[in-house]
Amino acid sequence: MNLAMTFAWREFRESRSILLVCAVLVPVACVGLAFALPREMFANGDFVSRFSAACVILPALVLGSELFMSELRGQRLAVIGRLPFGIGRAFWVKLGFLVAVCLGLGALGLAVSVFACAVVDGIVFTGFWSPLLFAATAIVALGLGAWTMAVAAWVPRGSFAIVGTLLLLGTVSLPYTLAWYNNPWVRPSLTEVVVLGFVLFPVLGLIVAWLSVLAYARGHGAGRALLLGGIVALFGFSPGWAWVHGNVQEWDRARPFEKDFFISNALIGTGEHYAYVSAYRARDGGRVGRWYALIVDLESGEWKQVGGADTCFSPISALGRRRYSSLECCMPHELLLQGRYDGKRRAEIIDGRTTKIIGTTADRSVPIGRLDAIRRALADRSALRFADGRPAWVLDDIESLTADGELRAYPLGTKDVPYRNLGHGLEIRRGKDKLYFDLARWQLFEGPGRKFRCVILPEFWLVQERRSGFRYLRGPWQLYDPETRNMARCTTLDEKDSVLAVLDDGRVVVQPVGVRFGGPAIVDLATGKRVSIDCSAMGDSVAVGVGLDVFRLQGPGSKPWLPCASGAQRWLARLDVAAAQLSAIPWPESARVVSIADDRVILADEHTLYVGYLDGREPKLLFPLREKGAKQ
Amino acid sequence: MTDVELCAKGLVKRFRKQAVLSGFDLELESGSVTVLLGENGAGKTTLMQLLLGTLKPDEGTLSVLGLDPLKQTKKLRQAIGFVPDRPDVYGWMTSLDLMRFLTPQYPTWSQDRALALLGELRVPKATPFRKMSRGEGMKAMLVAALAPEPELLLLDEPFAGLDPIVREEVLRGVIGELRESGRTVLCTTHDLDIAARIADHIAVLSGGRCVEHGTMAEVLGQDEPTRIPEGLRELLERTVHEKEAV
Repeated sequence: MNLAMTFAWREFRESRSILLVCAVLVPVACVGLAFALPREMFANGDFVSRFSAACVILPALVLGSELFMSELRGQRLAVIGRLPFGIGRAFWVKLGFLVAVCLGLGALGLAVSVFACAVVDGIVFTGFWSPLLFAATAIVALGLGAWTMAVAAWVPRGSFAIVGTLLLLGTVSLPYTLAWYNNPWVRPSLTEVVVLGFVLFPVLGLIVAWLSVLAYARGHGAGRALLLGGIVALFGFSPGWAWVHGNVQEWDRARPFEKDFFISNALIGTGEHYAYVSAYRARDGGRVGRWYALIVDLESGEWKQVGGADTCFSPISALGRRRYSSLECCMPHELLLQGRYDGKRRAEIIDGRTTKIIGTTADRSVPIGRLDAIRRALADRSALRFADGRPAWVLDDIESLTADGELRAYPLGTKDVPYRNLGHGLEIRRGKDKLYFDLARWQLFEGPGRKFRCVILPEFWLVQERRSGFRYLRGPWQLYDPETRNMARCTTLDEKDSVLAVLDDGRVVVQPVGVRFGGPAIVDLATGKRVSIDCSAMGDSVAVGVGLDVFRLQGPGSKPWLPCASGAQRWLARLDVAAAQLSAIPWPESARVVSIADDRVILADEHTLYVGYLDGREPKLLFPLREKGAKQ
Repeated sequence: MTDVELCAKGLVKRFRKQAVLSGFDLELESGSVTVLLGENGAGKTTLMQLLLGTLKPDEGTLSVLGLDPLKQTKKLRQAIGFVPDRPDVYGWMTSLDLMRFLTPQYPTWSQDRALALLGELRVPKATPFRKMSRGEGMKAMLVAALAPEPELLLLDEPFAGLDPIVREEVLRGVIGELRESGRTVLCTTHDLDIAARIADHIAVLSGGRCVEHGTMAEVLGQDEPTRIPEGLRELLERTVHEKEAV
């Protein structure tokens, strides 16, 4: 026999009784558990994998604690210690023996558990036991055994080594556990798992075990072994802890250039000088991640993160009344809230024009003294207008200015009802019911019925019944008086026409449903004159407004914006009423409209904020600009 | 000029704050049989562990067979035979198991010689150590130490605790071996009879130092005040007189 074989033979003779007990215990325990555990554990292979893993770990702990300490306690290590090859060779043989035993018992556990599955429930184990998995198991067993050996040299009695090892490993893994529990978006990559679990853990375990055992065997006692091994372990584990801390810290800062950084929402402050971007970063494209609030200077391209992680921007309550199917981003944001994305903490109120924090709020209300400024901003940008051009807007109530310039308000009663523009009025939802506010009459009405679509004009409403029964049926367009609830047939519109927009001069923009019935047109309801709209800027077969919520942009106007689509391509087009022509900006599926001006639109896609121009210029990137970086 | 097989200068070894050896000096000539005398706890076993390289001295220099025990451990241990004060091998091992276990450790191991010695000393070959008497175990340990034909033999109180008959058997084995080989031997004991029978040189360890070193006559024949503890000196003189009378 060579040296290693003699050592291995000695280890076998020393541990023979323990091995025998384990070899008997494994099948006995397997049979016992097979009858005791619920059936579903067998069905998905959980039992096999867990039981075989336990068969690896258990001997690693038991033998690891015994391999050296039983000899130390029996003062038999002195024999090895004074031989020419000393403790060194014996140490490595012990570890090799430990791994061999762990794998052997693991294989035994696998075999008996597979057999138990087949016998107890007739389930054929379909899992796998690849060489890679086998090697990984061996490394884990080696690491576990090494750490148990180390701890066995630290504690006065070897029997405490198992508990001590479990405590040690629990303590060591606590920073990782806490970090990953509290920051579920931080997950180690495969490389990091391999480095931590299969390099750092076993290698450090071997070093610490070697030093500890050597210190003990050299007569320095458990105290010195603990001191030496503990210091080395502390220094050894520090890079891992520093790594996980760094990972957590890294997620505190917004990194707009990372692929997993997504823009959730962007709000443009009044004056369009700053964009308030709420973004999140989630690993693997998931939605669980960290939120960031960024202020982007649209003129210089510089940006800065505000409020730390898990902060986002939202419109202040009065301005942020929910507009279903609406483009609230296009509202002028005089004031914003900056706070936790879950809204559970007090929020800071930010002046959208200057980025300054002007106060805090717990109820998201508008601070005293700021309402007039907000009203002015809304009056400038509101799409909701009377026939004579006076603006109306929605704060908590519907508000407008009288011909004398006085403010008047129509209370909506309850807060936070969603609404949308319908030409010269609003559609308001209260539960399942729809109510309509007619600007000209300054009154809230019930509609003609739940199946009717309405367009509110100054003198009457246009309504169309739509039924989605056996076939989707469109009734004829009718003129409707909300006060008398009388209806009269509108002969100038075909039942296939969809009304897209209401113009200032009382005409409407229509698009027949189905491109084969013709292109978009401007229709004069009084005369029935129909002017075709030139869509050549977007090519043939363009559907204007159909299938999209066209009213989200419109109040009455002379140059309405219309969403257009052709196949997978989308545009945001602006209608020149005088020329009856559409000019368009490409509008990708992933992009959201953030702000609209006369000749350009600010769009936000998943990763960038950019501006598109109507005159055909190339889109210009606004955020993130690499050369600008974060403003310090 | 005689070769020096072992040279220790100013050896200091402390356990915690207690110094076991404090400035220990010793030189052993090649082929000499030196008995190191000392009271219990004087540091004899500690010295043996230092010589084997299982302990590291806190201070001083140590050279054994021209080798550094801490840096050239393997080479040194392959040239040393060591007999502990009690058979401390595994209880399940038989003498033959022990020989088989030790064979790959020593390139000079002679299995024939080992078997011959086992027979000569009447050591049971198939009996586990836990079932052997202390004397049989010690004889097996002696065989294990002598089988690789070591250049230096270290005996750490091998006769302690043996009954007179067994002690005589072990002693005869040792003496016979010494006569044949002429190898260097360092034996620690507090048995003055054994010292008188085998020693060429006597070294006395007291207070962590080697207080006397020389032949028996040199140690006992000094006129000037000696540093040997008084009780030990008297015993030594009486033993020598008894031996001469016999």
